[in-house]
Amino acid sequence: MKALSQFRITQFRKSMSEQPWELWTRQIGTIIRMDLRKNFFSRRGVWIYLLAFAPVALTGLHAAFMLTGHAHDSMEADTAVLAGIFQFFYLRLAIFFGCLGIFTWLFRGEIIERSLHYYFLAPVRREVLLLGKFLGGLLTASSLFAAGFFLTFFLIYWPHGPAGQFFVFHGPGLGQLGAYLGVTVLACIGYGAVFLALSLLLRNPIIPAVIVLGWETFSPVLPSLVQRASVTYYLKQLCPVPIPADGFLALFTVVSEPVSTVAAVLGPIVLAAVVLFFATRIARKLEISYVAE
Amino acid sequence: MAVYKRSYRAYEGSTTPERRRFLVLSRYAFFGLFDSRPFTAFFVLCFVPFLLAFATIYISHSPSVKLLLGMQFQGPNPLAINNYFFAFFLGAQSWLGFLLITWCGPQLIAADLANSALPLILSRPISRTEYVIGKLTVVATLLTAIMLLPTLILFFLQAGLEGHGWLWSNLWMAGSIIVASIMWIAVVGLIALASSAWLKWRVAASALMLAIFFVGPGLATAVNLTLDTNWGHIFDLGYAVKVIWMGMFRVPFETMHRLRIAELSLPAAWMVVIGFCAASLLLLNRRLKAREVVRG
Amino acid sequence: MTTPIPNSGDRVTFENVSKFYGDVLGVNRVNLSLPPGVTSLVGPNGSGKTTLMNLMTGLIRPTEGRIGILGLSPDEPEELFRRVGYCTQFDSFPKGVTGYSFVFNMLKLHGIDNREAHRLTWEALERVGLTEAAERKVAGYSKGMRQRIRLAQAISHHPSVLVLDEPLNGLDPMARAESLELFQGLGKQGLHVIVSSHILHEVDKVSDQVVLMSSGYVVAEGQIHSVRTEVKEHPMQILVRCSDPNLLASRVFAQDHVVEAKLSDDGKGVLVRTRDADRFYLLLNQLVVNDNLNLETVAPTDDDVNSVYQYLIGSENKTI
Ligand SMILES: Nc1ncnc2c1ncn2[C@@H]1O[C@H](COP(=O)(O)OP(=O)(O)OP(=O)(O)O)[C@@H](O)[C@H]1O
Ligand SMILES: [Mg+2]
Repeated sequence: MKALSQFRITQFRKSMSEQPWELWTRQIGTIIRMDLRKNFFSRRGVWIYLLAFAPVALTGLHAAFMLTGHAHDSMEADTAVLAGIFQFFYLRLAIFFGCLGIFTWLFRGEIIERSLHYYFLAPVRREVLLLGKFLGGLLTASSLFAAGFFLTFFLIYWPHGPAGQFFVFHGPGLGQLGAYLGVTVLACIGYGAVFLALSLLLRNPIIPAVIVLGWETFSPVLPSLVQRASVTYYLKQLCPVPIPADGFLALFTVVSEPVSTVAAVLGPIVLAAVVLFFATRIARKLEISYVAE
Repeated sequence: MAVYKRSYRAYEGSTTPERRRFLVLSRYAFFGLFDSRPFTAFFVLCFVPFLLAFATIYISHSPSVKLLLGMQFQGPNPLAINNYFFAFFLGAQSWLGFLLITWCGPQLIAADLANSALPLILSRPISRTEYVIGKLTVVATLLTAIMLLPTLILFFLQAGLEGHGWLWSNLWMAGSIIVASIMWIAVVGLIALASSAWLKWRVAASALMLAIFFVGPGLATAVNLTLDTNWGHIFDLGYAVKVIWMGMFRVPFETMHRLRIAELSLPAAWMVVIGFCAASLLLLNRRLKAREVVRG
Repeated sequence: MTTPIPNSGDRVTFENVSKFYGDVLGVNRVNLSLPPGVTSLVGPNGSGKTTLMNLMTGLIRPTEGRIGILGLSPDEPEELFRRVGYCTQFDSFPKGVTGYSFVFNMLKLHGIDNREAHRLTWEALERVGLTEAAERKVAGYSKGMRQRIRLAQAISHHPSVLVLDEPLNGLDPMARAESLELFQGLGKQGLHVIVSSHILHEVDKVSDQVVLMSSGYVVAEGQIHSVRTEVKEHPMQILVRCSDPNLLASRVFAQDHVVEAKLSDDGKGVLVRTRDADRFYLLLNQLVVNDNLNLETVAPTDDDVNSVYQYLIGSENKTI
């Protein structure tokens, strides 16, 4: 029995090492490069920049006020402000809508511009194509939002002068920045996989997107076991500065005990892996039909 | 004799009168919408709250229920049908209507643009204004059916069951219902048309509509937090609408304050709503042209 | 996953392939086995040429049946598209590409390294005569240039099966002649060159075999000469109901252009198969005048196929 399983494992290893990994990496690299050029340098992508960098303008104003002596905020207050910007703006809205746009456009865009068949006519497995596209979208989304948040972070602490420097480099500042950026990437992974799969499944993924949005917004009022099926559940925990629930929803919020950090990190990744696996199934069956969208 | 003179005859039959010609566009749009079964299903679903509210009003007037409530509660009647009830119902219906328009609105113009049909339509005896009005009529009809009519029916049901001059002392509320609905129709309709005129892909146009109503509050929160002000709410269209509606339904200031809907003044809220509508009109005006510029 | 068809190593094979788009028929019950050389798919609009080519390359999946390309199934893109190049009917490109970057990027998708991809790209561009416009944006190309750059992309990786959907569309006479010469040359080298066209005589000179299509069916297939003869001599079926079927049958039998004449089941009509409809109608007129034949109906029973043949072969004599 043990020998048999050993045999299976060696066979599996052998078949894995026989796969053309190098070819696949090269192909994925090409797909990512082609996509990045499209995403970063097109006028169509301007709105993502707006979403990602809107808070930078705000904190820039804030910094200007502080430097000219029109505002005197304590660093604790500003840390709370940063936490609010991240959770209320980036996590719940900007990253959600950014990923909705970027990841549904990955394949739908090629269909609307009638260029998907070029990919399908290349010697690329559909699985490889999907993964390449996903990674391209992930790179776009996470780099833009991470850059936006990084600048926001900088503009929050820079006006505080030496105290700010101390907080960042000798206090908890740098760790918090790392945590925020990590959460940004995780959010892009989770939402990205979901939207990519939805866009392959449906021609108009808006209704499911609304459902996802509703789910992410209202899941805190559901039983704690159910809450675990939402992306924000894990990500909120990983945010370094907690924000108490506020407003109407706070009345009904069910406080659920946190899971371990490792689980919280793995949660969105596992979710993405499962969703992407199903997406490859759909992609394999995808046919080219450019009928009117 | 030129060939065309022998064989060509201009159309001499009757035409749709000029004044209601824009309705031709609306009619075809409706056919298109209700061809989709999911859409029809969702449209029907939008009337479920109406049935519930109808039942609530009816029950609250049945003598036995009144007796039961009177025995159990000393305080105010939880089933009281008052301005809160109608404001809440209208609010709920407005969201359903918003979702419906988010779904179907973008294909109104986006489809014409994506298939280059706009130059064709505008080269018929129909003006750009008529085109917009024709498409707006679709939105208006749908929202009237979902919001305005059900609320008015409920209002008159309540008036009929209550009697004793309830209608006269609450007639202002009928006015509020009508004005609030018309405002919502204008806001949602114009935004839907503007976004679909600029984004050929209707999914993107829907997403933009959602984003306006959902990212707005986030941006508002960010502005308020960072700059320590309340003016961030000017980015939040939904908030401004809420402020205006609360005023229309004569919700006391303390309640608004408690619900945190008093952070924007009424005139400012009106300015926000008018600003969004004007911006939409401006965008529509820039985009709807009888020619198309293709960038290489 | 469909299993490849055995013993089809050097052929493109269709085994009972049907494709339905919902209720719409794309192609129906296609059985083909194409040897190397130039093959022309000819048929009017909507006859299923593009459908057949898309099926061949896995862009769409058959509702029924099996397809094999050199023994490979269209489900294995990684193997298949090293050996297949397909120039589709879609006149669209990835956003913002230049002629060079378009061909180059697609080659990179093969996993080829930069130097080799660069070399192959220039080679392909030279073959279609687009070296001068290589660095310009494709969006600014003329229709014929776009057609040629897509051809360049399809041949750039030296495929052994080349599928070209209406490759002559939009080309000027010079480019047409050059392209045809290119196809012929490639066919002589032992490639499968599968070309679609609306007009038979445009491609028949370079074709080794032709496949005639109509409304989703393959109506004739084989070497150009035999197809041409078959089509020319394809007898027309006419059903005649009249007062004296027996008389009619006996008279028509005497004619050399009539292949067959038989009484219909109810005995009131004659089904005539003739190679020369005009002469048959003349005869019918004479019978009516001279023998007092009373005609009820005269109806060709296979008008569809006939008109297609007329269309395909008739264009030979017309100038386009
Ligand atoms: N995506 C699709 N959805 C529905 N029907 C389709 C689709 N693609 C093709 N058809 C139908 O299948 C049939 C064959 O079409 P096909 O495109 O293969 O014709 P074709 O011979 O290439 O015509 P053409 O010469 O115009 O290119 C037509 O009736 C067409 O309407
Ligand atoms: Mg075709």
